[in-house]
Amino acid sequence: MKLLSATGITKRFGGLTALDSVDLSLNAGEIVSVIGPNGAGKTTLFNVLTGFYSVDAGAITFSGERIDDLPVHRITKRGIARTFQNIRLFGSMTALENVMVGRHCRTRSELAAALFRTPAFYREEREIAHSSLEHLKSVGLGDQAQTPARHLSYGDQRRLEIARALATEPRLLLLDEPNAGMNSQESGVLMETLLRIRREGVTLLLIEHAMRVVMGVSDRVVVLEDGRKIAEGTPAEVQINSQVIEAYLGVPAGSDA
Amino acid sequence: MPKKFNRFVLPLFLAMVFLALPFFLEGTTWGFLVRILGVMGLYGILALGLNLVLGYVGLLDLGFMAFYAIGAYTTAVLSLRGWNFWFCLPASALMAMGVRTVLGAPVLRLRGDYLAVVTLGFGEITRITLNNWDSLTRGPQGISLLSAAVPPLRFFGYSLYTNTHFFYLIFAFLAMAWLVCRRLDRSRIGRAWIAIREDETAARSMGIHVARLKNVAFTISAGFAGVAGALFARWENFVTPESFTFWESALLVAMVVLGGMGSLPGVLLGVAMIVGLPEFLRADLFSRWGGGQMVNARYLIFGALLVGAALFRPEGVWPRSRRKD
Repeated sequence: MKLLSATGITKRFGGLTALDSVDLSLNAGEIVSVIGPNGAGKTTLFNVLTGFYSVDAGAITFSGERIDDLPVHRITKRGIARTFQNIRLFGSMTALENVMVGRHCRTRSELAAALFRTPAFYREEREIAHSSLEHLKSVGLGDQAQTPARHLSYGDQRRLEIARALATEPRLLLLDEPNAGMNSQESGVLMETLLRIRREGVTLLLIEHAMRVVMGVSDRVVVLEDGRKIAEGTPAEVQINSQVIEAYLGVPAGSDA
Repeated sequence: MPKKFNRFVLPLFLAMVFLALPFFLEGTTWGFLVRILGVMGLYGILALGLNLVLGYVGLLDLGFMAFYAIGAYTTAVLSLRGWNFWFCLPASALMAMGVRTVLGAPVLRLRGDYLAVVTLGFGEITRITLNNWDSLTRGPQGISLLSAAVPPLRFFGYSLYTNTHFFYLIFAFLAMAWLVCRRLDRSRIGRAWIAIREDETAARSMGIHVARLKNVAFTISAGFAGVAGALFARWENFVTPESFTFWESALLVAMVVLGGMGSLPGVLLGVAMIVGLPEFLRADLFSRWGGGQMVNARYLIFGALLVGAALFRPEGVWPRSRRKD
């Protein structure tokens, strides 16, 4: 079943075409990685899918509905969550509070409920605190709940971002370099976490440079270069694709291509 | 047990001592303190209001006094037409909130310094308008409410007019303002505000409607200013545009920043320091130190304390604590 389908996505910044009619489609339950050299347009693709950038051409359909003209918060509510390449946590809030903010779009207490402390307000607050702690535990941060986010280690901050994104109850989770800065033991744990998230019914789209992670968990790999999709296929297919090798390593000396 | 003592019994005891103060002070040479405490209470309401936008959402507002002015003038003008204070009060709050909502819609698209410049401009526009709209505000002469046409401020049959009366009235509203802030702080809305301050991009991707929540904070904060303005107008019984200068707005920002942005006790401590210190340094007792020169040096000492606080307590004298609930 198609969960997301993006067709002919084009995004220009002045004279630079960051994405040039890129097609992408994701089936429910897949793990797909986007790879490509720096500046290929990977993060731009994420920003387009999550509504941070509007598209100049093309259409994005998420579970049957057009989302390319929706604002960011509505897209989150539809079920797309993301993490950021350069971690964006709420630094002075505790780890638990960070995840509680993630519950915002799935809860509804407004001003009046907060001011008059209705029974519904208390019930919802309890639910928020409870489910947030569960999300924290699920990434192994249960004992760091009261630590301000900015005091967490780098790896823990990346994990907290994932927990916070999961708290929005996404059907599609976009992870921008989740493995960055992790050692090999941590990246082993990360891969297990990714597979577990998929088992819970969440479709994953990754941007990743670490080939061990890409090849280890992906069902399919999409390769971008200069804003164009140059290859797509299983990890094994992509690894032997001559265009991909060229993009990463250049043309062999003496060839005239 | 000691925890319960610290969290409940001790504050209650201190609050009772505080509320008994006017009885001990009135009629003595320290009677002027009741008035100073009342002024601090008014600034407390204003600072808690400003803290909603500056402390939680992180929007620098340099024209907050405009909404204090709108509240004060609304009550003054309506009182002259014979309105009872208890109708003027909500009218002031609604007027301030209404103007703020209309202002917020276009202005809140701006960030950081640009927003500060626009709010500063709005503060000045308000003051200049009040200064020139003679038919409504009597311009620089101001509006005096000491006329027979103005109904006395009555509360369940009692007339309220002394400093002590207003001390209690103001602190009752300050307590309500505190309660409102506290409840907002510990709610989904409060968390969303702080999230916006910490990282607006991440807040958006959490599904927070940033523009709407900013406007909510912006609007509610003006309600605080409107209420404070109404109390001010009836206490002084006189309003003039000169009470609502940029200097006042800047001092208010200093109170919130000095005390600790987003920390409710910190904000009130900031008010106590900035409103209180110059007055206390002027008081009889202190003025005798240093051969009577303390009075003249009071702003020097005040300035040195502000610089010291900024250097040694950059997050505020009483910063927001990470709560454990």
